[in-house]
Amino acid sequence: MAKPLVAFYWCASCGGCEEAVVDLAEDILKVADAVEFRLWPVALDFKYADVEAMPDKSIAVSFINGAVRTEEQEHLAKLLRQKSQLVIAFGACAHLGGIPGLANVANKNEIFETAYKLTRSTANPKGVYPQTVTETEYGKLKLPEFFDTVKTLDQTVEVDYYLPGCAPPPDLIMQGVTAILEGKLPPKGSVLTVEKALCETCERNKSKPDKLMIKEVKRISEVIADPEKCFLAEGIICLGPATRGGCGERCINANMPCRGCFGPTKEVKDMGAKFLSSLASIIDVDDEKEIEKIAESVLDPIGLFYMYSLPSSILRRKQGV
Amino acid sequence: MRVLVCTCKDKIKLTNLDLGPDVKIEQYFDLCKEKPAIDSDEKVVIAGCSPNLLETLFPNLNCEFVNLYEHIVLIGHPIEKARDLIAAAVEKMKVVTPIKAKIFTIEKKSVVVIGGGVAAIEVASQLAQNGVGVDLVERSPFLGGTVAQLDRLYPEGTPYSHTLMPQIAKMLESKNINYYFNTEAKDIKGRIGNYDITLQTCSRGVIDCTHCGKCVDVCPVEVDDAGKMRKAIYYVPTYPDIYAIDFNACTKCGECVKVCEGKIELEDKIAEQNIDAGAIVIASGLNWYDVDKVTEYGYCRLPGVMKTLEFERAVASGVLKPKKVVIIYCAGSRDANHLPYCSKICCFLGLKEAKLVLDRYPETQVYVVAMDMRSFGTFEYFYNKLREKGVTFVKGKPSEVIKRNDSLVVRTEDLYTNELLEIEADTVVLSAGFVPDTATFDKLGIKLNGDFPVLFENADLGNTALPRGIFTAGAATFPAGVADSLVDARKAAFSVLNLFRQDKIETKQPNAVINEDLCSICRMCIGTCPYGALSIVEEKLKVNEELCMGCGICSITCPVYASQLELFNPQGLSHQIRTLIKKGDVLALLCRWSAYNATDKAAYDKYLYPENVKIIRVPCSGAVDPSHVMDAVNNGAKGVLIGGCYPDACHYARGNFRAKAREQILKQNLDLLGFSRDIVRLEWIGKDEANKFVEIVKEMNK
Repeated sequence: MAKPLVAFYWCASCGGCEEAVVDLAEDILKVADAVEFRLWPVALDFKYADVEAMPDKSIAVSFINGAVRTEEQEHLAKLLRQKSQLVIAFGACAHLGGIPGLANVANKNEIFETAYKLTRSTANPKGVYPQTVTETEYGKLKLPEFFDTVKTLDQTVEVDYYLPGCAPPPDLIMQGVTAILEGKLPPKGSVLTVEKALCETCERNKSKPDKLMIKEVKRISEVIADPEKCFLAEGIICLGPATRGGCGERCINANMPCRGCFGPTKEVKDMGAKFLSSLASIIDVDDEKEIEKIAESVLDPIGLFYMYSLPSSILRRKQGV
Repeated sequence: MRVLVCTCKDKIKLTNLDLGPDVKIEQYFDLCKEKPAIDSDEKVVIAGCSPNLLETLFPNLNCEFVNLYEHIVLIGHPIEKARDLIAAAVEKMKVVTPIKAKIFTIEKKSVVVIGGGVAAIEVASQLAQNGVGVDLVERSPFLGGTVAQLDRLYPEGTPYSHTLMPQIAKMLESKNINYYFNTEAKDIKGRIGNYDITLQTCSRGVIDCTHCGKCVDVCPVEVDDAGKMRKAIYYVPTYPDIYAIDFNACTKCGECVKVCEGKIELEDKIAEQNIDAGAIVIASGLNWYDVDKVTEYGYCRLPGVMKTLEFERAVASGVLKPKKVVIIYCAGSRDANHLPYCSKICCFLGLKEAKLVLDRYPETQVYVVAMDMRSFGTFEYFYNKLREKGVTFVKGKPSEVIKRNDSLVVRTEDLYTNELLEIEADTVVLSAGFVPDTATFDKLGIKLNGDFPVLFENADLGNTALPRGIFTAGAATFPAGVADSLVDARKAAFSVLNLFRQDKIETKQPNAVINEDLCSICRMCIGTCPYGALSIVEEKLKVNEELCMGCGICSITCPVYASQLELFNPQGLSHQIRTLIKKGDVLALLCRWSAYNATDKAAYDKYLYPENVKIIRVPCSGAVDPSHVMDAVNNGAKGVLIGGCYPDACHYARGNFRAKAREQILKQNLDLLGFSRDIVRLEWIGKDEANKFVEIVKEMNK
């Protein structure tokens, strides 16, 4: 029997998701035995034209990581959707928008201005910015269009499943791949991890007092966190209560609070607004002025509450720019 | 889904309402009169006049009310707006969890009274006379509580025996009271109608007693019992008529056993037993504030400085015969370092001590140093009488008490004369405040409001929406005198009788329900519940139906929507907002207890506001999620107003402060996302502040 064909593609991402595949270690040999790759730009030399030439639905499954922010990424996402039976959003950026999604607090011009002009390490006296078409003596050079707004994969094409995380942990990748190969998949649209939030499995949850109320909000950089105690009980913001579990508490074990890369649980549409509500609710102060002061001590609320999920939030991006 | 629309006798002229095949529109000329049958389990929408009226005519429904009369007709908005409001209500109702009827069966019709003071005796007596079985649980070996320690009661100075002894005699006439002395309620389980109480009893030592009193004669251990000396084996002349051993002081020398005509066992054992009850009355009284914490007054350090109770007992028993007394008021009261509150009764206690010493020794010089004399009502006569008798009242707060040449000196300012005084005295009496005895409340998970447990049925901030099996009497909730305690005890007895009149109580109060498939026991919600209704039982989050008041604060706190308020699921409100709000609208999410009422008043008083202002009624400003604001803003809303009760006046105690914190952080978020901070505004709007509501929405509409 012919092996199922697989594509692995990256959009706006850091490469960590590719790295996660390498982290499968010897398991990667099992995967390589079971499937045949047809596109994997980071590792193998296939051309887009090869994919375009394939019949529709001939790829069993496409794993797409990274958010969608350029014309090329959008084109490939659509192409792979057309050629694949299953599309898996691989990692936080494809799933929620991820860190690149924080660019939605600005637009294309502002980003270009910063990247190609304002940063101290940039020398660009002629004010040259990337153009989609540039005439040269050798002919026209083309670059893909850079969008104003970063999108999640499912805002671009239909997505069948989500493998969450920044990056997805190897055990979840193997579980997902095995489920696909064995055809034992959950309902379409599922996030391939557990349904409950991280606190369910977090060891530190046991140290949390029943009545969790705080009088100040601390940043992890300001304190040395007790490795036994729940971060929130110490006033350090941890998104564990609002974030899907299944990650293996990698950050918690490194004494860092959860930042929400696994995304919200199934009933929540806007993870940032939801956790904002939870955190504000446990501020145990009955004085308006004092409440205002504590609220102001929450620095960079977008970066905090929406670190991975701005493009998938209700408002998706900064308005009016 | 049924949508019942009332034309309010043709005042609401609604035509051509079609909301698709699943929605059945029924028009009524006069819904109040016609009163169509509505199944209480069915989800419906009723559109007509204000829900404040409709809810009384159609109670206990799974219903969203749409206010067409006050929100459209009376303020001259086009009737087309009705369609949007009704369609949004339908979308909400489609997704909400219906209210499940809650049935409280009153299985046990006996009551446990915790305490043995005047309040406990009165409530037990009243209930027993009415045929209710009572288990009275008293921590000490004798009845009487604080009152039995006193010499006399204010204002007249009658001995406590005038009040307490007839009360005890009356109680003893009833046969259906079981008495448990030296006993505490160690654990309380169950709920209204069926409580299981574990009692822990320490042995009394004296098993059989002929009242000969020989044991007291031979006992070598002297105990200072609040200013009065007694032996380690002792008797308080209230009830029961049997001596008791104070095992904290007893050296077990065995002298008493030798002379006893009855039977004494010197082994202090602890025994446990369980009793059940349908209701619990907490009449555990109060504790005196530890006045030695007010170090500047020298209690324990300087001989001659004493507490009011010690002074009273020492003077009454003739141990102390002072020549010059200074009574310092508010020792540790109304003081940020000690008790921030006024204990209400200590002003009279101080006056009582002044009268006591003057009654016995008229030549004594008495000074009272007080910041204020709070002698309300007829107590002013008492105060004036003591002035006439020659008590000197100084307005001030003493800075310290020192010892100089064998004499005590009270240093104080006199705010009337602006002088600094040094008053010499042989005796200084510290009139301290009281702290509640919260041991039983803690076991029941009943929250304190400030320092006192006042958040339930027959107490100050009572709430009668749910049947309750826990009642309070007397000074258990706040310091109270004998007269007030007796009245309160009768109120508690009435409440219990009222409860026991019924075999079961059915309510349709919306409750929070927990989806265990989603709850990760993160505990964010537990502390935010104003009623202590949430707790972890066997590693699962549980809602105590008896305590949940349906505010919705927990469901908005829950980071995963595992907690949901019946009929007000956050998702329901989301659907409603997404259907209702169009570009350029102003959304007003208004607390049903305050701000919403202001919109009714706006209609009657013709404070007009623009038609694009759309109003949704919510249980509490604390039941609005930042996501709801996001939904409205995403639909193009110009502004979102959240209207709540003024600070400290929230119907659910703290919901408005929760809303405030959310609003403040949300403003920062919206600012960073390119909106004006004022696109969301949380405003305190009283029920009559129509004008304020209209001014705010007009501003937001600019």
